[in-house]
Amino acid sequence: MHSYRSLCHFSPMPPARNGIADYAFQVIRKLSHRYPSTVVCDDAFAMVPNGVTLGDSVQAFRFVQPDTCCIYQIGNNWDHSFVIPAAHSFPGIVVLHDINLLYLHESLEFSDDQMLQQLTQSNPHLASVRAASIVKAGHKLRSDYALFHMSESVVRAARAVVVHSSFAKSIIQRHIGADVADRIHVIPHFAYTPPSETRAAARRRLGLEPGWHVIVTCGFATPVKRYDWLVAALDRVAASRRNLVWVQAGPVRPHEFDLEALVARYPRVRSIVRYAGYLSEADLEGYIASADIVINLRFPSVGESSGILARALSAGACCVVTDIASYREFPDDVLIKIPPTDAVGHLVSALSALIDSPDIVRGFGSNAKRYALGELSLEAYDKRFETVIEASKHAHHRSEVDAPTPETRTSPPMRLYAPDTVQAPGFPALEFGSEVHFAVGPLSDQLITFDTLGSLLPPTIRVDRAAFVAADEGYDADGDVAVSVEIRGAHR
Amino acid sequence: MKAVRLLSKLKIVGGQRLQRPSWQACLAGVIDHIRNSYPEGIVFADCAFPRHFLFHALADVQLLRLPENDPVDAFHARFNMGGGTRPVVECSADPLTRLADGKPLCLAVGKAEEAVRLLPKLERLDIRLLTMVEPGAFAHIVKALPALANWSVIRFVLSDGTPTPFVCLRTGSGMGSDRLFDIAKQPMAVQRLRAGLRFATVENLPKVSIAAQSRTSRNLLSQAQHLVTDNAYAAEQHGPWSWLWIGPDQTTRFATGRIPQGAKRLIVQFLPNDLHSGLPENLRLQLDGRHVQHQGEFSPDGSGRAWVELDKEDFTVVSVACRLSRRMEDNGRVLRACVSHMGFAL
Repeated sequence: MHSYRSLCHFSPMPPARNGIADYAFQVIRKLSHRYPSTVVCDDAFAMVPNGVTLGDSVQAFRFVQPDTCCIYQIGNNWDHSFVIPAAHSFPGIVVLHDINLLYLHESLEFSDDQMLQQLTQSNPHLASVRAASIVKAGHKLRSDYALFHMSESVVRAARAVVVHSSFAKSIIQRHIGADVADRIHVIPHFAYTPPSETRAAARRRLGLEPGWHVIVTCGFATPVKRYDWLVAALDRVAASRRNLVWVQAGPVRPHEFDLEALVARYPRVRSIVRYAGYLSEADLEGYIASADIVINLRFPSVGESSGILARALSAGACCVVTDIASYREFPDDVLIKIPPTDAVGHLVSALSALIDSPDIVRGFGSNAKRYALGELSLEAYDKRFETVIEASKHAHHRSEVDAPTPETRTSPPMRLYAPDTVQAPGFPALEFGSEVHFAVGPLSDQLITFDTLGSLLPPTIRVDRAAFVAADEGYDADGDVAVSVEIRGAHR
Repeated sequence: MKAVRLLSKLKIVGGQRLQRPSWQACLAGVIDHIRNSYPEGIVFADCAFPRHFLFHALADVQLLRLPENDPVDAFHARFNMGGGTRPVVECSADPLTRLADGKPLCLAVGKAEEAVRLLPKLERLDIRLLTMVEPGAFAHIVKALPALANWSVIRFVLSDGTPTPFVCLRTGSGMGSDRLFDIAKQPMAVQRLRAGLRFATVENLPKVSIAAQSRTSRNLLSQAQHLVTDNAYAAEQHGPWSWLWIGPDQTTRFATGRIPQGAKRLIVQFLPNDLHSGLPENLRLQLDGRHVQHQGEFSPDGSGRAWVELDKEDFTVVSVACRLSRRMEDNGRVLRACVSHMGFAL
């Protein structure tokens, strides 16, 4: 006997080009075996599992009954715009796939005052110097997307929040406060059903020779996936290895990250790369199945989880990731983890060793598959999620009105954090409890964004206050703003 | 406009004369009767939205919405009447006073329960008012009588027994309830059923045309210029024809009002367009936000109709979604499908 009579899922769905849509389809299909389910979506042509009703997001109120559990899939892109208002209207379970939601909030129909309020709630200290510029002048820095998390209202409105890693949970707590800890549940991203094609068959179909060493990267090419590291490393590896091919199994968007221009600077890499473009589900699966090595780097991480990694694990691929954030929560014999310091050097060593030792590749692949089919199975995920659903029936959500205002918080807001991974060489030794007051900069805006400010600090620094102090209002040659950051805090 | 030029290809006119359904006919008859009773002029408005019912007899009647809870209000506030040209405003003192403009106001209020909720509030307004309650269970209005102490409730019944809307008049409002009985020239029987409730039988109601609707055989179709939509481009007109484009968003919602008695099919008619091909397979319909299977008859030029066989009459909103789109170079509009009519087969 379930506590709820039905489930109402708010999520983009296939054919949307959105990994969360694919994820949601699998979850809903599984849960709909036990709960009558409706998918509320802004796409009238969305694909839903058999037996599941498709509803119009604008008329969500028709589908939510007193005994309905609402489940919201939220990622930081505009496909999820319709989900946020519903998550406030009908408190339920929020599945947070991204922790920073500024980009998503830009798609919502907020007035200037509402946006200012949201920015201030998200980061009161930085809002005093950045919010007006963001809202009134529309002048955004890349760092804004890292430093304004914008997740507080949706977390506080929820009966329960599901994230995919303890890392994500810890960041939310640090952003919002320890009082939300009891509503946040960690359920690792499930692994997909293993591909039906064998490696040999997939290679035949996709024109990849059996004897090649196939390295695959998947999804949109973005800066945080550190193609700069990978390309530099492949250039060195390709100098001494033959039969090497790298497939970029996903679209390249030059306005976001010009991968082709980067590759063009490395003739050896240019000779081994294949751009597959946007792929059908079958072809994406095929490339993962055909891979010897799947590379899935991230730096910095904003607590996201990778659907591609979940696919690669179940395909039994040998996966190489960055040794940060949620990736650290995987067993060391399942993933090969590259430290973000001297990442290129470590990548060269790892790739060389893997290419030279097929046994190691097979060993990691075998461990990955075993882990995917056990710990990360959809069945295990489903059971954990059902527990959250049933527990949420009696959970109390707190409205935004009840949320403590920044002035009444009992603990200092941790607005920037060191992700416990990067030590700053040469940072002066500090005594415990000593006050910290220093300025960092001038730095390019891009540097602050992609090597987060927190990563410049040792993890023992507690940051109480950080504020931008503009060193140069103009743009430099790369189009980035040079800024200084003033930090106050304490050594702990 | 190509859509207009090709309009003549559509077989939307013709066939047998409409055998007007009794409910719509008597509604039109009662409206006509009220109009005759107030030769100084009377303004009609319908605050039963989204179950508005005067719409079936007076296509351009002003629609008003009653306050509901938050998400429902936000949804209702999206709609515009007159093919998307005029808002459906909230039913409160100011709009009603402006609407009446010194003339008597006849306000359709929907179900008896809504009348009970609304009528006491209307008593405070300084306007001459009569209200019309949606035809429904007779027992409901009788049950509501104690709450309607200051109102006279009149019910017309056709000689064949077909129920019509109830009409409520505020006592002492100067509306003169007897006028409704006296002015009609037809033979009429009046009897008092209970205090405040008067029961009239009207025979030989005069024929009233429903100008806004196509009178094709067994179909009651509204032209695009009279549809109530949430976010399509506003209806355009050329001569007797009108149409509206779905776009830029994928989905446009239409508030149909109370489903006509005996409706068997919902019908959406499309004009031909040369923007894209393959409309039939790129079209979806929803009733109250729920996807429904539809059937269709389309020509290669994209003109035709989609329909849904109705097994229920309790929906109020039809969504039409089209995933084809084309951005026009001259004005930037993103056009999808071109709707000319929507309505019901009876």
